Amino acid sequence: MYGWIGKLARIDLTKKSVVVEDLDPKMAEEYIGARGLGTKILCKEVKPGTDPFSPDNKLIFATGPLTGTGAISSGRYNVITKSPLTGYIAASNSGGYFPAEIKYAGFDAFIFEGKADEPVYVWVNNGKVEIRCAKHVWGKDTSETTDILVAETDPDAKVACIGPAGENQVLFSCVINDKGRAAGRSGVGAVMGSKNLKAVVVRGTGDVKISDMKAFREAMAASFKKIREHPVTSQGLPTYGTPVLVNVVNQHGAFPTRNFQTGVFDRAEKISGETLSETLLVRKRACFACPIACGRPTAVTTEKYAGKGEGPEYEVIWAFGATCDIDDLEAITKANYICNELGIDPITMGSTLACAMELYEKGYIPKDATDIPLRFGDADLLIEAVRKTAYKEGIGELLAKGSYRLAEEFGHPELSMSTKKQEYPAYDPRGSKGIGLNYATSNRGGCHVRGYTISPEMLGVPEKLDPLSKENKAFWVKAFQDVTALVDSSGMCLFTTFALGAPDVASMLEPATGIPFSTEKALLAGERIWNLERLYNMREGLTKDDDNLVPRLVEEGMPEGPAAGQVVELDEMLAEYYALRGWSDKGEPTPETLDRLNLGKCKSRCVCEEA
Amino acid sequence: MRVRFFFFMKTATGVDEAEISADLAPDIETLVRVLVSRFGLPLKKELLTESGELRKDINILVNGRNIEFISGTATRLDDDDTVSFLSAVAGG
Amino acid sequence: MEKLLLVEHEKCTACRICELVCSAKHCGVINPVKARITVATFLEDNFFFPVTCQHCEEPLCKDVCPTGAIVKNPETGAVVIEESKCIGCRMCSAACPFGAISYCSADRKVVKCDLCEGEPECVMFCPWDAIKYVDADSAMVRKRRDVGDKLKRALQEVKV
Repeated sequence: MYGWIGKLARIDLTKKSVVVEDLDPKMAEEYIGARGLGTKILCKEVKPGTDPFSPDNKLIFATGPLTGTGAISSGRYNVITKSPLTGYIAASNSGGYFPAEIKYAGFDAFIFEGKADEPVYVWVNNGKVEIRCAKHVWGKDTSETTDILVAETDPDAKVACIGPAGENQVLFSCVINDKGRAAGRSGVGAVMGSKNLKAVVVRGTGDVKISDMKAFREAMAASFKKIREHPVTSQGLPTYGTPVLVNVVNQHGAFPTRNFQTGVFDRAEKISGETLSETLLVRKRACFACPIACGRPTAVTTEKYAGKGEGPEYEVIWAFGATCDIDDLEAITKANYICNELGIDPITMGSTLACAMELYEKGYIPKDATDIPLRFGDADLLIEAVRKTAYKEGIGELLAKGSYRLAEEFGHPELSMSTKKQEYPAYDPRGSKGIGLNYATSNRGGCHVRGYTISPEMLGVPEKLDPLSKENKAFWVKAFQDVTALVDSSGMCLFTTFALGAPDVASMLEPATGIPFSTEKALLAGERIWNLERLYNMREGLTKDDDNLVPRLVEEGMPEGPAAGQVVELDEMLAEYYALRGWSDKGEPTPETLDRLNLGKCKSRCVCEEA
Repeated sequence: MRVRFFFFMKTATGVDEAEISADLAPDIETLVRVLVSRFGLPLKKELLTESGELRKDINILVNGRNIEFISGTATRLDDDDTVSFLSAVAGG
Repeated sequence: MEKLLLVEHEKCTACRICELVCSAKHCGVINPVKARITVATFLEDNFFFPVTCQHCEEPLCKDVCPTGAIVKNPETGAVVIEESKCIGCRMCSAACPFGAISYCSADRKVVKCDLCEGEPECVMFCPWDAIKYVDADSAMVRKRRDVGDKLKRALQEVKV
């Protein structure tokens, strides 16, 4: 095959056996790769109702046809599994160098099955797959694990691993690759931990074949030019990275503060992207094949928080900053480093902590129920709370379950800022209505990188939409969700979409794979993937009622700032959204929609009964 | 009024913010002219296209609302307003 | 006029696009190990350095070649391998202090940067101009001017 390698490795950790299979070309064409391909495999192979931590759940590492090809920002892969946090689909995306190495090693994807009886790691070296003992790295953090495994395999090997949080099955632990890059959300690291799989180490020197190199080079050069000429991707992101958003979002009054109690953080300047660039930033760094280079290697020299590593990104600055009412950028950065080392998703971590702080402040968590006081604004608490969570010590035992289960435990689930039990990221939907509809409908729960309407609503890209209006938002959410599914599945980075669109993705997919990909066909694949994820969730019990937002966002008006008095008019947008998607008023894809997307075999809730 | 500069606007002006009277700049269009004459070419490049029109990719907020959804460059300004000039940036 | 590849490592972001476009151009496939350029990447220290043939004035590769297959083009300055004379002994690889000459096992021959006949692909696709192809005589003048520019900006900042 071209673009795709055409090989999958099925690794049974129970039997310690490896089978190399051919990639089904029809499946590849319909589901592209990465997120789409992984979801299709999960639907086909894992039975409904499977416990996410049971050996029957599968953990899939999947690249896309463009991963490692040199297409713009094409250094990405997805980790797909059933999420222990949400109980629905998990598909977490990461860049760095590890994903492309999978292709050079001769595979499109790894399917991990079963459960090893003791800690193991998998060593993939140019087509050979070996299951090795990992007892000596179990318990170690992600940096040390990476160094040890590189030393005992190949100096050019790339490593993806879990930290202690994944081993301890913290419900929002992640898979860290290349030390600072994370398949971050929905607890994919916990599933890896449940399988006793500490790490995947890959080295490859093989080719990725391109069907029509001349046409591919032309398409790539055209996209390259667009990226280099667009002010966002050539200047904004490289100069400030994602933390640029602190000021943008705060200026719009949609920067969630004190667990979404308000949308204005009065000390935003202290934790802004400009401040980060002027103080802690070392230089800019790129993922594989990326001309944008939004990566932020940083260093903190103040003794108390000394360290170096990657980030914080915008989301982390918010999660450990505004929503916990903390304005100490060095403490936030240090907490971020520790999340990378222990393998924890900082979005859910910070939001869970903010939820705990509100519960504590309101007296719902009694003082004697926690070993550390959970006060808003306490910067020193951050690091201790992250550690306690990773090791499930003291209050960390409850924090490790995420905000929903924590708030439920203390009788106030409405104070968990989450949908489908996954926490919202750093935008208050009362100041950006489209993102509210996206949070409500995202297949993996609270999430911004499924339909990033912040782009038109606050950044004016590709055009300016009124953030406070509900008009037409359903259309934009659907359009963004579909194109994102396509981009994620291709192996490219979502950040390219500030400058590129579906036609550009299609223009690279076609010459790379040798399969005709019109823009329409590519977008249809994106829509198909979205609907398949929906069908997966439905068979795991999802109903219309799960497409919700917490009462704070739909009932309590924003107390101050530019969005004062606003609530999210979710029901109206949701009805419009279902209609646009071709779903019934119960939020289920109609038979006509399934036929149109060639998902006809996935009738109603009984999904993926392949002929 | 309080005029705040962010990102490349801040680099161009060299300051975080400026105080401008509403008498001098009663609307956005006039304010842009006033700022360009005060801060010169670097800010002009950030605000205007080569043909002298307001760049479409920047965002100007009055009290947190994009002027696009108020009255565009005709948006009226008072002394107690805060105007924010944001360059074309993004993140996620 | 003689030109040379000038690497400014502080501009490099370690995206490795240079490796990918090099392998595409010379081998028709995407494969970093087949590229004639490699970004030496030390993530921990945030140090990235694209390494390729320096097209030396006194090329050791040329000196050790037993068949005289390596020549330096006096006009362009490029050190190139004349394939018809190459016997594949790999002595040049052993002699090169930069590791710039690789052995391609698929084609069973040694390969090196040939400056893409005057239009280096890596230069064309480097997003940050970390690799430039410049007139040999003025290359260092330009670098010195850049140093001056940095100093100028630093001084201006101090004044503010």
